[in-house]
Amino acid sequence: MNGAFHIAAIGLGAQQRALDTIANNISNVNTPAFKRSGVRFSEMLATRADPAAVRTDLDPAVSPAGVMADTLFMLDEAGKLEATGRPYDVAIDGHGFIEVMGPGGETLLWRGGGLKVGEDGLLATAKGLPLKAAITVPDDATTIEIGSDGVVRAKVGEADAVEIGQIMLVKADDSAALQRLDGGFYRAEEGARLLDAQPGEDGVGLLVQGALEGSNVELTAEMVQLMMVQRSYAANAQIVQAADQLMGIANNLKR
Amino acid sequence: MQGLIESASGILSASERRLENISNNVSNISTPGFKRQISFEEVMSGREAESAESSLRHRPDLSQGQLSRTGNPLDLAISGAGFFRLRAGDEILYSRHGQFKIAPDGTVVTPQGHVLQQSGGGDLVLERSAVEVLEDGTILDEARPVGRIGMYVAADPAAMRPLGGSIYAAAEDAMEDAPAAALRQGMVEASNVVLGDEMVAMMATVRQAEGGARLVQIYDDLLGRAITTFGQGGK
Repeated sequence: MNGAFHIAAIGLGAQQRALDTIANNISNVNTPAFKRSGVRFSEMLATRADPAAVRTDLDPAVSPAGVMADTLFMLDEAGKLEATGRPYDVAIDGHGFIEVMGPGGETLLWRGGGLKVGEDGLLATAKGLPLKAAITVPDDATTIEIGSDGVVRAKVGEADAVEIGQIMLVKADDSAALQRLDGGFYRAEEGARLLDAQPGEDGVGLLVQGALEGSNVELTAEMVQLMMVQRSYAANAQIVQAADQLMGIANNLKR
Repeated sequence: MQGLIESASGILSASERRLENISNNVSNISTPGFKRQISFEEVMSGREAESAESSLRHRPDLSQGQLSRTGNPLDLAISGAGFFRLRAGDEILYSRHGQFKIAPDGTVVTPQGHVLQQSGGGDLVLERSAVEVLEDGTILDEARPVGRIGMYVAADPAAMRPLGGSIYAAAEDAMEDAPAAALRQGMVEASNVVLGDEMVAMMATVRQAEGGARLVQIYDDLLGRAITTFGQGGK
């Protein structure tokens, strides 16, 4: 058995995963409200694959078995807010989320972005998912105003703006309990505690109208990581070659 | 003559194990808290040389890795000598790998699923990950202390048995509180693997194996020559 082969192959796989993550981060460097994923490496031990399995004797057969990589998205790192001036763009300056109704009637969490008025008159995300607050915008409204406290007002003609609804924010106690979906939506896992609050309270943050939250990907950091991954990948490939050489030597013993 | 073939096969299998160790070091070049393992051959006494295989040992190089900022509240790096105490099943392990997350039951676990232990014993249980961790390991949840992470150091370094580059086993009474260790929140300790060293060691290992193979060939040559020579003499 040649363990070096397998360990290096596992190393290649882990670096490949890290590269995939970095690629995804870099390609989303301009996606509003995108949260980058971080790669977390940890060592693997051969007999420790199942942490629930209890062993009383450690000495025999505990051997290093390479590395594993898993990813964690950095939800708590805020992106920069960029003013767009569009009244239908909304960003959250804080840790909260806006609740929207998903396609299957489930509640999804959203970090903000472009809004539009759906065909049924409800305020919805640019993808057409209505906000859970169910705010109906009057047909003849010329513009809407979203206060930093979440109060939505519509202006009809020359009259003063009238209040048409209130956007609430929710906050997850532990960001690890959120599952990332595409399109900038998140789903809270079952049993996750969500805290409902008015914007500005309990650290959920304020709503900012006319702005979008930028991606929190830092290109320089990603590039440094990319180079690290590239080099480690090459190093692992070298080890595979060396292991191959060792086997070649053994094969050539018999002339 | 018999010793020649034994040492040759010993060299071959030792180089394989040496390469295995290099391989593990290289794959873990990005693993936080990983300490590179150095292989070395123990000096064999006199003529009672066993095969070289049984004398190959690994020793961790416990030098401090560089700390780099990640910003995650549950990324904890130890600056100075010290280890986290972890529980795997009912076993106690030690590690410097400080990337934790909160498991569904509130315990704080490593990616391998080992549970972080409090100072004074018991699993650390947190309600949320947005906590503040002070240098001495005290955890503050909104300025209210909710626990303290234990950091330990071995009175006798030989009492710690490395299970890999980042996980160690030790008897509980062999460990004492680490006075010199400081916890840094939002940081990880980089692995202390130096790629250049590993590559040099790798090349040396391959050459060592070639040397072993050459020994086998010479032995084979000598044996062949002996057989032909003595075969002719018997005519």
